[in-house]
Amino acid sequence: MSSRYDSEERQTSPSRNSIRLTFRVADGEVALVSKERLRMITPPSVGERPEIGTNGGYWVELRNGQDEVIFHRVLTAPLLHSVELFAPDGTIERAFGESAESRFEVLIPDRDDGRSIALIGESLTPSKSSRKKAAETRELAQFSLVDDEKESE
Amino acid sequence: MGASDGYVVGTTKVVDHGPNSDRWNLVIVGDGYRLSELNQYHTDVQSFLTTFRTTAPFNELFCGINVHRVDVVSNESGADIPACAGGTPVAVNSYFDATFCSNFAGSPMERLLTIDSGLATTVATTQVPERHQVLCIVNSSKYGGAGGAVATCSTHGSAAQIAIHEIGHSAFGLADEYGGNGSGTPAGEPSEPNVTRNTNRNTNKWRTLIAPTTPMPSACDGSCASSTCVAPASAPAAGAVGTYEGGIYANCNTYRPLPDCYMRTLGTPFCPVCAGVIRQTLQPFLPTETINLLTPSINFFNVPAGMGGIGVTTQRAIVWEVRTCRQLTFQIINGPSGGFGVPAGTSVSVTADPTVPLAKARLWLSYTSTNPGDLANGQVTVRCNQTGQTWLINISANTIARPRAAVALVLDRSGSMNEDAGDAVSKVQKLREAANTFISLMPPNDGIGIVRFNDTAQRLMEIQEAGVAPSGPGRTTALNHIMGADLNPGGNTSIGDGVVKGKQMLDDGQASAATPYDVTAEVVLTDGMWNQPPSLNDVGGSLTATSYAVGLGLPSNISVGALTSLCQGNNGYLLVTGAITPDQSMRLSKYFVQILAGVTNAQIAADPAGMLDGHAEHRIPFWINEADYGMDVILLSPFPYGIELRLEAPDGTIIDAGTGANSRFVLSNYVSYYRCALPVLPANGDGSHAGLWHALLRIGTPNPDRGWSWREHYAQAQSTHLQRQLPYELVVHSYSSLTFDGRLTQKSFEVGATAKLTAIVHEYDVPRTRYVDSWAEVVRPDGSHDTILLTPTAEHFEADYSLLQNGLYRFRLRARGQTTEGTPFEREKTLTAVAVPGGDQWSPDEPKIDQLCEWLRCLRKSGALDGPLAERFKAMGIDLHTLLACMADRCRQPGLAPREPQRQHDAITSLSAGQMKSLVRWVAAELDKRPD
Repeated sequence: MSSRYDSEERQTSPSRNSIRLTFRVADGEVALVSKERLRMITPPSVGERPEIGTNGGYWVELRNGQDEVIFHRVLTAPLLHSVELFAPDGTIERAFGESAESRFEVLIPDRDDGRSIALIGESLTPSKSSRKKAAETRELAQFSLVDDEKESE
Repeated sequence: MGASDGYVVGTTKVVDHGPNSDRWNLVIVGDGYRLSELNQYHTDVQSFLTTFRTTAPFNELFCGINVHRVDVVSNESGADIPACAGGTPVAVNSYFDATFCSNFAGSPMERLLTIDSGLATTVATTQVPERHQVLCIVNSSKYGGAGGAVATCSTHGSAAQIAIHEIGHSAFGLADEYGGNGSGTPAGEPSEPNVTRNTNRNTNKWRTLIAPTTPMPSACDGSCASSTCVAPASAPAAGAVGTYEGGIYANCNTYRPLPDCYMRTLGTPFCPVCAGVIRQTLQPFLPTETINLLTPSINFFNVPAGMGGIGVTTQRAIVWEVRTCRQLTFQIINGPSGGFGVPAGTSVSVTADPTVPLAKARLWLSYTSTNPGDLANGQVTVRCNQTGQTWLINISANTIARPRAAVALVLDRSGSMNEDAGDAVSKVQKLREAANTFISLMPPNDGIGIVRFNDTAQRLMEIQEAGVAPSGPGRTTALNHIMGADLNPGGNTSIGDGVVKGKQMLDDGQASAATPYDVTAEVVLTDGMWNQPPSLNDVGGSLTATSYAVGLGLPSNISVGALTSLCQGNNGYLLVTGAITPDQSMRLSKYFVQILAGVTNAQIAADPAGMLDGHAEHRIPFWINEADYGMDVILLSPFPYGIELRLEAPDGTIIDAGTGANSRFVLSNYVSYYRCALPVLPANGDGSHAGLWHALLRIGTPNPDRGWSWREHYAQAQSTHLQRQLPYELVVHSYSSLTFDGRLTQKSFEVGATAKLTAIVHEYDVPRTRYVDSWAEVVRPDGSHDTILLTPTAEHFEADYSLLQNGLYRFRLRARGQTTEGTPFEREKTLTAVAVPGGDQWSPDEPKIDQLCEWLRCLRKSGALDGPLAERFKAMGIDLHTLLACMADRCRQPGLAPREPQRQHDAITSLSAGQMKSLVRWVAAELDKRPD
């Protein structure tokens, strides 16, 4: 187990202050579009911590000044443009396709020791987010949270 | 199409469980609703919420959720439906551009319903910055929806499931559990909590939910050659959490916790893994669960001894106030000791209302009274099964003798009591019948005293115990005063002196009683207005007894305002009879019987009337419930000796005068009744207590053994005058822990005033409005009828009624429902209200304005104002007709229609000599104001 994950606290009480991060992915690049501080409870992350190189999919890590992970949030494949198709009998299937751009939001706790946010996943390019053989997860981007001003395009 | 195709109206917090900063906030926007369709949008939102909050596990977490409904108006209704599935394409200008047949990867998908999610997110954020999830409901019944940052669904009956599935993704990070060909399946272990490649029971991510006996893997798909799944030797138990091959878009080598789940098939319950994730995610948003014991001890205080030796069983509840999102069960784990019972079982479960997480849990204990002076003590231990908390409750009880009442009858014997009450019977005779009935019905240990008044008041009979019915010594003495010459009419009306004497009599009776009375009451009967001091206003403040009054006759002739103030200020009320008509000849007696119920704390359970004819038997039903511990079945009739009265118990057993056991039959000149303890037949308790009873009435057959007075009465019944027809009124009183109190208050007695009605039902001292209806049947002054429903509040029922007609209103206030054990019950009470012109302004020195108006009409109709009188007024500078026109304006009010000449005559002649003089002086004074 990577040491950076040893610092992730299992919160016994939720954070009552949150940051809503909005990201935009396009042309192989990801940008932090906005950062909004709100007085609202941050939903906890439930389940085992994913790890780079071990787990697939996408997630966001909140890191402290020592680059240790203090919170994570699993994302439901925002970079794999896909849609679910529902039948009246309750069956579901997902269709995949390419997309020039996508946006997604992440809610993280507004912590004094939070310094940066990292997006972990397989690929920023939908065509390479392979439907046949997924790449290993890696850090795709990192953003500083030290600047309190809202970042916008 | 877009934001120019409509506008945002505003936001309503339709589910408010607390501050947005503390709760999980769901924001719902609508698309394709025109302004005229917003009500439908509101309905559609509620429909979704019903599906949402009844879907486990949201049903137990709903109190951690706020729901905000954003009203958005679109220029046009519905959604775009391009012709991807055939048919005529539909294009709609809606605010969020909702579209079926959305294109994806170059192909239209019929049921893919998308919107401008960026705009929806912006709108939702503007309205509710603390949003956790946004949902868009599209005004189309076509099945469809979509996921993403904003979940979308149509109004199709099953489309809400789409939204719930998508919320599973976006709000809780759950993966899809359906299979596929592997496209989109991540390499390595999925990061989502509900799918895995790991079938090792020691390291699997949901291993804590896997039973040791569940095989791992638990089932294999069997459809793909590349699968490494090894099928188990035996199938896992149904519903066992394990690893079932297929999930996150691959049929092979990925696993889900159960064969099916909401994240695999819409509408299927969430598997325990997904449900657990949802619970853990929403747990921080739940209000703190609290359980407060409101009754640390239970006291059955002063429970009266029963009737006929049978104890009174009453109930008290141990009460907790709980704030919870889940079901809590309170279980008795020890006791109760001390002889106390558990009438509703040893446990109770409570779940707070989904919109109001505060509820009360009640565990009922019972106590049956024994002998006066007895004490009982015990304990009971209760545990909350979910939290493990326990409480030790101390219980105590004591039995007292049944409350005794002392009643002073304060009776009018002024000259007007000689007049016809309206049915060719004098008022004083009506009074004698009613008082006779009252005295005959009094419980044996209650005290009775009599005061009479005209110009002054006299104490005829000091408070004395009534004694056994029908001929106890106090009862006999009282009846002799009533039926003798002591009430012969004559003189004026000093109600105030009568009230004072009644108070003094009660005070003296209390002081001299060996055992003080528990209740004291004055019952005043008068047919007029007080015209001799002291005034009623001056004496009311000194009273301590409950005060009732009955006004016999027209309200315009009675001190309605003063008597109402006297009674309402002393926990009682005034009833006005109006003119007694032949078909309501027993009204005064009924009013006295109702007042007796108030004095003795009896409940009126039935009050029908009828006419017995020939040999036909009348079967009159009435309900008795398990909270009733005694009853009086009372028959009022001009000739009760001529009517055979029996009772039929719920099991069909007939109870008659000879039954004995816990029933006693009493027969007197104007009333007969059964007085029963319940159950009536102790050997057959179930069949002679709660249930549907019947009173059986028929004209009796001659029985020489019943004595001389009976033969006389029966002969009268058979006379040609009555043609073997006997009117009757049946009244059922119950002595009960299910009580009903009806009240009517008026702040004004003018025409147009409002009567405020209140009805209060208690069962074992707990207010009851659920499963109870209350209404009032109204008879207006003109004889027309009305029915109004009383509106339930938290603890009672209420309604306002406008008194738009001039005269007397009768309200039969009723309640009907079920006890907590499901037995029907009925309760009722009759109340009256009065509205007359000048009702708030009457002074004993001036005639009432409606009397002036009647006088004016009489003068005008009779022609007394014409001719020389008008000329004489004119010579004095007074235009008589103008003067009279001004007076007519004052009299021209709604409902103040001219009455029949006969009643005009009554109105004139009803003016006393003093009032006539005052009227003449007033007219003269008006004339004197004019210059000669």
